[in-house]
Amino acid sequence: MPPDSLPRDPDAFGDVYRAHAGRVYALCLRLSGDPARADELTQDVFVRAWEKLDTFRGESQFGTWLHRLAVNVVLTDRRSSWRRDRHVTAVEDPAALERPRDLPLVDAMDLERAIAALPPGARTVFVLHDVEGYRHDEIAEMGGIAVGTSKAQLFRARRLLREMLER
Amino acid sequence: MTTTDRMPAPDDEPLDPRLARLARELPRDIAPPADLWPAVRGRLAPRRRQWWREPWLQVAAALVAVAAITLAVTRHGGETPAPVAAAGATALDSVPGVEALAPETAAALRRNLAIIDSALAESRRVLAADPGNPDVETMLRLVERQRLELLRQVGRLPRS
Repeated sequence: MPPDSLPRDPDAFGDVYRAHAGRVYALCLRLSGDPARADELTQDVFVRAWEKLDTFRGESQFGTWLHRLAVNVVLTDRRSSWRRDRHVTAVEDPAALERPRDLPLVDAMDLERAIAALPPGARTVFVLHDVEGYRHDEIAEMGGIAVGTSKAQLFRARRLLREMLER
Repeated sequence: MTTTDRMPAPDDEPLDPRLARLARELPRDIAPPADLWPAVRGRLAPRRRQWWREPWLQVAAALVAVAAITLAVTRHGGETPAPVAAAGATALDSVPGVEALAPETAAALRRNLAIIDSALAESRRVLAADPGNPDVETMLRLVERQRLELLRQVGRLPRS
């Protein structure tokens, strides 16, 4: 979709929403692990896309631009909610976060549930790297983390998911 | 989208084949459980028109520049553009002594001013439809000022 053909009218932007909502919602759901939050994030992504539409120059496909924007919206939300919650969340058994849930992996639906059960950092990197195909340097840039952290989180995610597979 | 077609980075250890298979089977799209569009639509502010995307303003700015070049060339005794059929009456006719200008110069200025006036009229129409748009107001004032300056300079041109 060339920049000049993008809708300038809010009602016409509905066509963009309908064409990309499923893709954006899937990303938000996998990154957040929470259907209600994914609803809110999906709305935020399209509102942000509308606001930033003039910055789309057609250097990539519109879908790729929107996908990247969606990742940024989710990761920005993740950072702000992490800052908001870090002072009030008390975990009695931190090791429990590392224990994979009892979710044997048989099909893709099982993997969806297992991804949702991963710790947030590991889930984010697994989704972006192994599902969406981003490189570690891209994930590090978007997430504001070191490349080494991205690799460590991927290792952790894969280990947890493999343990579920081996049950 | 192209991101899903990428392979894992080469410096990673290979993904467990069973996990890789399941990851490939994940659906690319998941329909939101409810239609989120009404909520999204309610949050979309009307988009302001951006003056630099308006062709009529680009034309106006370009023609102000062309007319200024015409004046500069005339003042320094160079050749003016070939005469063309003059557009309708313009403010040029109200400039004292304009009838004494070289016919080629007067024709070029008259043609350019007519197009500038047309672009200004278009800008006023857009402003009427989008009152208070600061970009259009700014550009409108700028072109009006340049047009006035152009007419002032016409008054100082050497007469034939």
